[in-house]
Amino acid sequence: MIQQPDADAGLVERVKLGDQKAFEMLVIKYQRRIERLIGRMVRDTDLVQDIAQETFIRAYRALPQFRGDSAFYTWLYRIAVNTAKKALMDLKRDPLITEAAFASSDDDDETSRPGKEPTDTATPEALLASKEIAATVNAAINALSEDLRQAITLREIEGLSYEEISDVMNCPIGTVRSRIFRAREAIAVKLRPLLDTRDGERW
Amino acid sequence: MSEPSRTPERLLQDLSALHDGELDAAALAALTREWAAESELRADWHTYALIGDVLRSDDLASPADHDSAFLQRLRGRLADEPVVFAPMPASKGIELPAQPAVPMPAAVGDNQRRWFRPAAVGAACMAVAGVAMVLRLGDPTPTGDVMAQAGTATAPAASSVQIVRNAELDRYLSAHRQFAQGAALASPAALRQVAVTPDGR
Repeated sequence: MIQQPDADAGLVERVKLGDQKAFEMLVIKYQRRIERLIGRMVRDTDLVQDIAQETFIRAYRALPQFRGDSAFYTWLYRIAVNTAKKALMDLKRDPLITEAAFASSDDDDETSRPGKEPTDTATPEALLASKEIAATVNAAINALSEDLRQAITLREIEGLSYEEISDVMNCPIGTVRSRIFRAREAIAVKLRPLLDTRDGERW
Repeated sequence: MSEPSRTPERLLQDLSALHDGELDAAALAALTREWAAESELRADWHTYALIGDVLRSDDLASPADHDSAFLQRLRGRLADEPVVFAPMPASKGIELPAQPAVPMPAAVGDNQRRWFRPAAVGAACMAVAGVAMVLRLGDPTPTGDVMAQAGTATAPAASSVQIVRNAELDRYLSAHRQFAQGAALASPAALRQVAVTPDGR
C-alpha cells in the first residue's frame, strides 16, 4: 500500500526549525479530534481538557524526534491515547488526583490558573452552538455546485491529494486547488457570523 | 447572513493549500509569518479546520470560544517550554532529517552520555580485573601469574578440578579478544579457570 504524503509535513518542519506558531496551527487543526478521542476514554470533561492539553505539550516536546514514519496525526493520536491511559491509571491508583497531576511543577499556585477557562463543552448553550455550526456547514455544502462539492469532499472526507483529485475530476491541479479554496470560502462565509471572530484578538 | 474574510484572497488561497499540505516550503514560511502577525488569518485557519472536521463528523463541531480558550491555555504552557530545534541536514533547507532529531531536553542526556561511555569502559575493565583477581585467589593451584597461564590452555587434572565451560561465554570472549588491550587477560584460557573441585571448594 502506497503511503500518502503527510499533509502536515511542512508545518512539522517549521516547528522543528523553532517556529512555535506553526505548532499552534497544528493545535487548531487537531484539537477537536484529539478532544473527541480522549472523550471516548475519559468521562470527566475537565479531565478531557487537561489530557488534551498534556497531549499537545508532550507532542511539542517530542516533535524533534518525530521522523515522519507515520502521519503527524497518527503520531499525535498515539500520544493522546497513551496520555489518557496514564491518566486513567493514575486515577485508579489515587482517585483524588486531578488536573494537578498534569500541571508542570511551577503551576503549583492554586490561586493562579492562567488561561484556564471554565469548561463549556457540556453547557446547553455550547451544545446548541455546536449543532448550529454543524447545520450551517451541512447546508452550505449542499448549496455548493457539484464541482466544488466533489472537490472538497474528495479532499476532506476521502483524503485524496490534489494530484489524485485532478485525476478523478479530470482537470488540472490548479483547478483543483481553486475549487477547494472556493468551496471552503463559500462555507466559511456562512460560518463566520456564528464564530464571531470579529471581536478582539481571540486568536 | 454571510461574512467574507478581510484577509487578502491570495493569502486565503495559500491557507487553503497549506491545510491540505499542498503549499511549497517558501510560501509556507511566508504564510506562517503572516499567520503569527494577523489575528484575522488565524481565525480563517480555525474556520477552515472546523469546516474540515464538521464535514467528517457533526460531533466535531464546537464553538469558537471553546477552541480559542483551549489554545490560549496551551499558549500559556508553551510559553514555559524551551523552543524546540531539530538538527537539519546541512545541504537542504527543510527536508526531513536523515537521523533522528534530538530534542532540547535530550541535550542533558547527551552530556550524560559523554561521561557515561568512558565510565562504562572503565567499569568493564574493573569488572574483568576483579574477576581475574578472584580467580587467582580462588584457584587451588596458583602456580604463577595468571598472565603467564594465558598461553597455555592446558586444563588442570580432570581428577581434581572440573572445568566449567560455557559456550556462550566462549563466543563472547573470542569475539572481544581483538578489542582487548591485554589479549592475555581476555584469554578464555585464563578466565575459563572457574573451577570447582569435587569436594565443592
